[in-house]
Amino acid sequence: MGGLLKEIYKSRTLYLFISPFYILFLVFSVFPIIFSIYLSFHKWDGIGSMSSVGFNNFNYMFHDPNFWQAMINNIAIWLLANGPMLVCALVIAYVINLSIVKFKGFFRIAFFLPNITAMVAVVIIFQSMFGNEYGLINFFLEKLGLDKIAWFNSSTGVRVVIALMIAWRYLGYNAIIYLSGLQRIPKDLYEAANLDGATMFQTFTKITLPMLRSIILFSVMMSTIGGFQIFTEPQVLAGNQSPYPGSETIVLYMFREGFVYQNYGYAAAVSWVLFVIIGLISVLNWKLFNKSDD
Amino acid sequence: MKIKSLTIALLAILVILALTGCGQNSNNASSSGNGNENATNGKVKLKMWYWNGAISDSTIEAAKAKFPNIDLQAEKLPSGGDFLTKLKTTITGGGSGPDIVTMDSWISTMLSYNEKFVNLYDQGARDIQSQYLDWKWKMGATSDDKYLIALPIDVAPVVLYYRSDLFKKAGVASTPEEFKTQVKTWDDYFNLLKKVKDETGSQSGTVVDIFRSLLGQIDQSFFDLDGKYIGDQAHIKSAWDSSVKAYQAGLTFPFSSDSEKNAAMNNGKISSFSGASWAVGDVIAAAPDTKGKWNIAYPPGGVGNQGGSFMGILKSSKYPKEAYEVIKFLVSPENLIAGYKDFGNYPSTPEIYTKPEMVNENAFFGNQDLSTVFADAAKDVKVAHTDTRDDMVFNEITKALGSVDAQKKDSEKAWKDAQEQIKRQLSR
Amino acid sequence: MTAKKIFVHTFLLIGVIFSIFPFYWLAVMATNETSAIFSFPPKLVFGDYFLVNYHHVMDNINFYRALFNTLFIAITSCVLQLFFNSLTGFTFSKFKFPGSKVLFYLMMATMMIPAQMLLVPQFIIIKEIGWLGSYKALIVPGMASAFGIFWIRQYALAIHDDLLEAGRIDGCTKFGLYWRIALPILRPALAFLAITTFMGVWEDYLWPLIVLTDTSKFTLMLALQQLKSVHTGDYSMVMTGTLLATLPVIVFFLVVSRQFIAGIMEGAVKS
Repeated sequence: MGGLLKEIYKSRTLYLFISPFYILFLVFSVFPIIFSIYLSFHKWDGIGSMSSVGFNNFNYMFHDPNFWQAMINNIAIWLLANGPMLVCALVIAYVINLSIVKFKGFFRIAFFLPNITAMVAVVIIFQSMFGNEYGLINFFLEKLGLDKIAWFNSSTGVRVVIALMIAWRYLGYNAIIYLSGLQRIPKDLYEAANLDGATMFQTFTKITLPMLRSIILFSVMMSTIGGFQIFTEPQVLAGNQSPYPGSETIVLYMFREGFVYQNYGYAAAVSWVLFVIIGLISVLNWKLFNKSDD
Repeated sequence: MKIKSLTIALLAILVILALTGCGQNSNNASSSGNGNENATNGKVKLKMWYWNGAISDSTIEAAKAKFPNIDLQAEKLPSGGDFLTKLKTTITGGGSGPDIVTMDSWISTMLSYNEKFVNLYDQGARDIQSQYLDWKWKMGATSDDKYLIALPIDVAPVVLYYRSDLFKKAGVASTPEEFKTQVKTWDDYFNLLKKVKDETGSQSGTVVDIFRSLLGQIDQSFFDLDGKYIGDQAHIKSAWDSSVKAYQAGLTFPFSSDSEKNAAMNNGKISSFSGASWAVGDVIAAAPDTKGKWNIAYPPGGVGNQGGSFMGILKSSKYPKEAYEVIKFLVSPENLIAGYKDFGNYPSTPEIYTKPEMVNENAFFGNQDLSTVFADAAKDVKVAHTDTRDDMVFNEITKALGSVDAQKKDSEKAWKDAQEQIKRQLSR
Repeated sequence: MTAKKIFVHTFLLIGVIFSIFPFYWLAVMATNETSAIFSFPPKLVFGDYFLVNYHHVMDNINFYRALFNTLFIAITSCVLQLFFNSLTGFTFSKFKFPGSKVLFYLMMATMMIPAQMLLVPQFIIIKEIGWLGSYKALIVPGMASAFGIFWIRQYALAIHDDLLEAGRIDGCTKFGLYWRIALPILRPALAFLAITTFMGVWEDYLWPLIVLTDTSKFTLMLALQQLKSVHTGDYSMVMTGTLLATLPVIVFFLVVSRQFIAGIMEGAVKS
């Protein structure tokens, strides 16, 4: 015990270094977290008084087909958007980083542009692009003699549109993440590989991927967490009511229950279930991508 | 070593900021509690929240001139759901925000918390009650009419917007007068639409738009006065059936987004729709290529109401008396005319409907005087009892209607599924 | 060699077209009347309505005031986050101390709570400590973020222990190791963090909406929303406002890229 105290005393500077986050956490998050746990066992309309309902909120949730539908939509959108996007982002980052590529700065900003375009505009643009009757994409499809696609009439169509929106917004973002990872790989490693006559593919799998592992773990973790918290894209595209099939995600479901229907207690319960799900998947990710350093 | 002490200093500042920030600022809070802030130049400070298009800027300027002893701070906030979210959070957090707040048709959800608002009957609101449309006034009062949380601003009577050129081409009723006399029921309207569609290929609004209009015309909604669910009964089912019938006859524009509807309007694919008075601006903005071809008429099946706003005073206000004088002035009949001129907010004070200032001949509508139609519609509005759970029910039903259109779901099955879902929601 | 070069550049250009098109269209909409958005087929070339739209924006909101407010908050947040997150992230990546794992996982867990759920209680805290309506409410809670710490930690894992060891032998304190050795290597990571922090502040909407009480303190995103009235939609005005609001971010991106990433080569050589 005395040894531990001594250790702690020895590490006092380190505790000081990490303290800002935890001080902020104590001040701004601890009470809200406890409050929302408490809330998940109550019925509350946000203004009036609360009444205790035990496990009713959780019970209702597990029997609500809308909740499960939201879960399915969410997982579908997440997989559709993130899998292909992360792979593409990695390829793009790798290519931009090649020594033969000119105008690196231009490409970097061009791919990042979608991420810095405000959502207000993104919605109007995507609605105009994917309209069933007057969408730009259907206009071109018709020009090419193809059939129009009724994007908003099937859950698959809607999920594809939302996934595209997410992929579009975050492709360059993730490419920049990978790019900063690539830039810390010493050039001599590549030069040595070149001298040994390695192909581009070999250098990619033998040098780039292993050196990038911790960064890939970061991007996978973040897109998992982000993927289960998809909210803005479907909300702005379809509104809080999500009248289109397949557009409702869990956070959207939670937001509507809380802020539109005034079931704050229920919304809190949903958010804690969501927390557990994200936690479980994150642990899985961690184990999968992080074999060596933990 | 120097760097180390620098960090420590920085972190110390952080800690001080995070912790003593409380002490320092609660001082401020308590001083404002003493009413200190108002001591500044002896003026009464009133903060007002509204959104772009709720109240005319010229009216606010007029109020500032009229009450020199009041420092009126009018804050224009983002509109719609965001406004409601901010208002609710402020009330949940115990008020301490604005004195005067603007409210939209969601006022019914605020009525359940009437104790958070000043009872305007105590401030003498009975004296001006007769100036306003009765049905509108009552929307701001509790059902026993003892507590009034807000004064009416505008009403949003629903009328029929239609392309007179297309209707003329189809050889059916095409003037507002013909509509008023010949198109009394929804079936009359659907018959006309059928001819217009065959002749010109254009349709009405979506199946959901039709349902919403039908709903606005019945004097009962989803819940009765005791809060019992009646949304599965004949009055709702028949509105559902009529909407589905119109859809099945191919009369409705496919269920989709606003930008699709706007584009359809601009491209002559929508021949008519029923919409509230504020839709005037929508049509003009969305369909400039069709200028001069539109008219409005008394709608089939009677009029309904969609929207229209109110102004109330939060209980946390220190100057309810002064605040009341301000809102009384802002929503006085003469001042509402400015709002009508600026944004098309149709006043809720019938005495001015016939005034010459109200004449509103709009070139976009072939110089038809819109006010006469609105005045006609505003007086006949039927108001159904509202409930905080209306939104949920309405969303479930429109989602089901949308699935009938977009996914070709069987209408009876969609109705049954929606009702089941609603009842499960209500069972909690 | 040149064939490869052409192939690679063509590949990137195709990607760029997809990335840029919506932004290009935003600019097109900002230079046209609203009706152009609803015509079919939609207009895809620039119009000459930009100045008209620009004046509409300026008449309706105090754009430059909001721009100044947002810049102030964004830059302050950036500086604070870069410092606190990199210090904490570096500490987590290179040092083991009692409780370090638990503290790290606790921090990771905070990212998994949907932020919307904490909105109301956090509002109450801000109100209780009297920060309602002040910029402190926007800056202080976000001075350090789990996202940023995690990012720096992942990046810093690759710093060679020999380097730190050498620093220790030279008599560096722990902070010296961070300041002299880690920070230069972390530059590209800091560039990314700076951009995302800046963007995060720029785009944040719900929280400023709730805690700010004076329109004179509004951020750009709030001001843009003020442009919209409940019903009538002047879309091209909104698009113009959005375009104007995006330009400073692009400038920031360029400046940061130059400042941080330009010097990367030397950094790599040194290590």
